[in-house]
Amino acid sequence: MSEPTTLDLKGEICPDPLIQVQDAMKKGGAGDCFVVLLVYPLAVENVARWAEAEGHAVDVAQKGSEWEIRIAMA
Amino acid sequence: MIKILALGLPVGLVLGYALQRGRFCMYTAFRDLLISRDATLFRAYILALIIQMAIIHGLDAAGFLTVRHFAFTWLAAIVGGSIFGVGITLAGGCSSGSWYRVGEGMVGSWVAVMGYGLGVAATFWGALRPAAGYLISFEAPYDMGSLQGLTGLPKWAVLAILIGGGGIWLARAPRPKVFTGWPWTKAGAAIGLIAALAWVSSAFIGRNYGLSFTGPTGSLVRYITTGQISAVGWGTWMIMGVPLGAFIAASWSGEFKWRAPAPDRMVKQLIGGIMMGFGAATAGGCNIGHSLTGIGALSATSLLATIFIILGSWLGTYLFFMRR
Repeated sequence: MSEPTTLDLKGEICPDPLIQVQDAMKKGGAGDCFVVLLVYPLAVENVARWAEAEGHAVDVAQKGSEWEIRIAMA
Repeated sequence: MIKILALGLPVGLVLGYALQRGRFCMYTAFRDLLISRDATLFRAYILALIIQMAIIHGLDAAGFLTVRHFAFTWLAAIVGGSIFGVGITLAGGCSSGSWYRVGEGMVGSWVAVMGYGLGVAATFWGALRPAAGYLISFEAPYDMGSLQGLTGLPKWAVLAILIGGGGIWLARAPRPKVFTGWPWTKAGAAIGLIAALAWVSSAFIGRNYGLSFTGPTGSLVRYITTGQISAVGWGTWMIMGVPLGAFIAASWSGEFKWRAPAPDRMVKQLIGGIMMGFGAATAGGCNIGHSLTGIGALSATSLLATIFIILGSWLGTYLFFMRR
């Protein structure tokens, strides 16, 4: 289990959040963890939905007006 | 004026509310088909489209509404739709998407909407008018402009194919999984009912039309810059309700927040907005006027414009975001 990689995408607007998460995860492998920080609900939806559809373990937590998505690569 | 306000503004308010809760952004719906093979939001769009289609053609058959297809300005639909599609990728949202984000405190969308208004006004009445006029001059005969006219099928058969086919596709969808807002089923049903409500509300003032964003954005700019009160119509009031409704939805759910992307990103949003304005004003509609209302009215030009809006949004996403 490696240290999680944090992607702070709070200042990004669509379509950057999803594309930057996809790009970062292309370089990762099974067992790698990512923590994605977002403020935009729709970006939370499409990042989490994509990661789940890819078969990774996804956990979404809301912290005030921010969201934290934890992705463990399968 | 009071009657137009009383009919238009509430439709905009509930629409803005539903767009925000449903996260109903059609740019995202189109883009996710390409970059994450995810059709969740696209399903919401198709559901809204077929619900509206069934209701308005039912009311048309009952004599309550008059649903007419648009003129078949095919070259304007292709070129305008493509430019609009590329524009929404830079603007960070389609026209309804950008308008509702105004109410969520997304400052970049304020910039995009300003650009959109400028682009629409320049195309309707200003410097870009000759270019649009040339493209619009390519018009197929009116009778060919409906999907039934184009295919030679009876209208009821076209409706049955579209509503039945769409319904079967949606019924086979996986269970909706939601992380933040409404599931696609609720979002699509709400938007479809509001789209039909727009036709009914408009019928009371003799406006045979549904939801529309491009014309009203232009009429708002026209009123603001020239003071011409006659420019303010049902759609102008409706569109002003959208950011207000979205603001109410975002505030109640604790999602309202002032936020802005980097300065260079906002300049791109301005340019994207201007492209959206020119594209939509040339094509005769945006992702709402064509993709929801126009296809709902079985307009061939709207289907063509929508196909090129989708292709344009894929091209823009690839060129500006994926290929870096």
